[in-house]
Amino acid sequence: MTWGADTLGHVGAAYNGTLSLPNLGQLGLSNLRKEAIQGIPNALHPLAYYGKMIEISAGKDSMDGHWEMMGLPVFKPLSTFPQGFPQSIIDQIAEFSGRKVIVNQPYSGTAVIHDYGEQQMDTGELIVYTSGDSVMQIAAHEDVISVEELYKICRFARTLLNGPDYQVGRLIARPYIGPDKDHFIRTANRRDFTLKPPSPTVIDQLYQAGYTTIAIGKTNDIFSGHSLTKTYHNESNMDGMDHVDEVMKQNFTGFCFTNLVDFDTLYGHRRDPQDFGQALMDFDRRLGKVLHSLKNNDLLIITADHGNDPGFRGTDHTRENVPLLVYSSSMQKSGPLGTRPTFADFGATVLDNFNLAHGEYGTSFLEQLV
Amino acid sequence: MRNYKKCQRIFGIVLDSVGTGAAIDADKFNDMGGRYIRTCWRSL
Repeated sequence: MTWGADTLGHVGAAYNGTLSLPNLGQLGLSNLRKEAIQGIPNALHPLAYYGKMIEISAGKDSMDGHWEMMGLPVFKPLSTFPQGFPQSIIDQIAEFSGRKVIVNQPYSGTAVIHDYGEQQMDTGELIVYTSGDSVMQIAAHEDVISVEELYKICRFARTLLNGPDYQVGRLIARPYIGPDKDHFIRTANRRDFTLKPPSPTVIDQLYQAGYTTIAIGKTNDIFSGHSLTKTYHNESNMDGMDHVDEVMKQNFTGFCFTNLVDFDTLYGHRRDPQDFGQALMDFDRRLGKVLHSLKNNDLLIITADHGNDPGFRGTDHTRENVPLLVYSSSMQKSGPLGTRPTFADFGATVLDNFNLAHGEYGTSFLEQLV
Repeated sequence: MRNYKKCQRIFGIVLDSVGTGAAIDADKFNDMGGRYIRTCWRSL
């Protein structure tokens, strides 16, 4: 493994040429890269328009990645806490909850419940930890602190981290289950409490113009539930793809925004390239069904919010360019979209499609789709 | 001349964390001990 982060490249390398992504490959996933992913040859005639996008936000987290896609880059770095959260914050959480706070330092999410989960079960304390990103995570066993109580504590903690002194991107409730440290599992009751977008996003614009806006997965949390017509909670990537299939059967005019988080939570942070690759192959199989189901007047845009290279040091996200694949069965041609200077080109294109003016950031690539 | 026929539905799918190579400014962000993190800490 090299030191430079490259999530797709290093997952491919871990498979020694056996990674199989026929659908993503035929869209042009390797064509958009300088070097093809091992096992995924460049498509001779890619089906999609393909390119990469560069992040201009000052971060590498889901929130700033998704906000930038929707026209709202985050230029002011959010607060990070490499030495733990200030005692004043911890004290207020303890006073509100009536529970002692433990850990309060950067930690791997799976390691922290392994190391402190049994103690937390015995005492009812709150495990508070962070990472290299702007995030506070609070973990508690579901049998000891109910999910609703944990959410209530998180909602309070969120109010402490909205600025101006400390502005944190995400506060994440991390419930877990299991009998002992060797069997603890984090559950799908994870919930993200994000900073509210300070100004309207592409989703707000679409909603206000009367278009349907659907969120599948954590996109609902990332935009604080703003301006969403319908939301779906995902238990897993495959559950998310079930929701995509369901929404594709619905008649609407608008935008469906899906996030598939297993790549990140289950495999990227755990630096597990084998299972990361398997998750990509599982997605690719489901993508085949999506491509088959797309109607002539549907547009599909596949991208990412940042990297989380399982071959990179540490356990944090990695700041990377992200792939961009754009496909409609009505397109007569395909080809390169180049390296887009901001993720906001995605949102600008969505607005352009619906005849809405876009804001300061992003350039629509709609005219290039023929 | 526009050839693209505008679509009724757009499906955006974010493959969370599936990056495709280090950004040009990656060294400011990708190292826990790097200067970017330290700068943030000092700015608090």
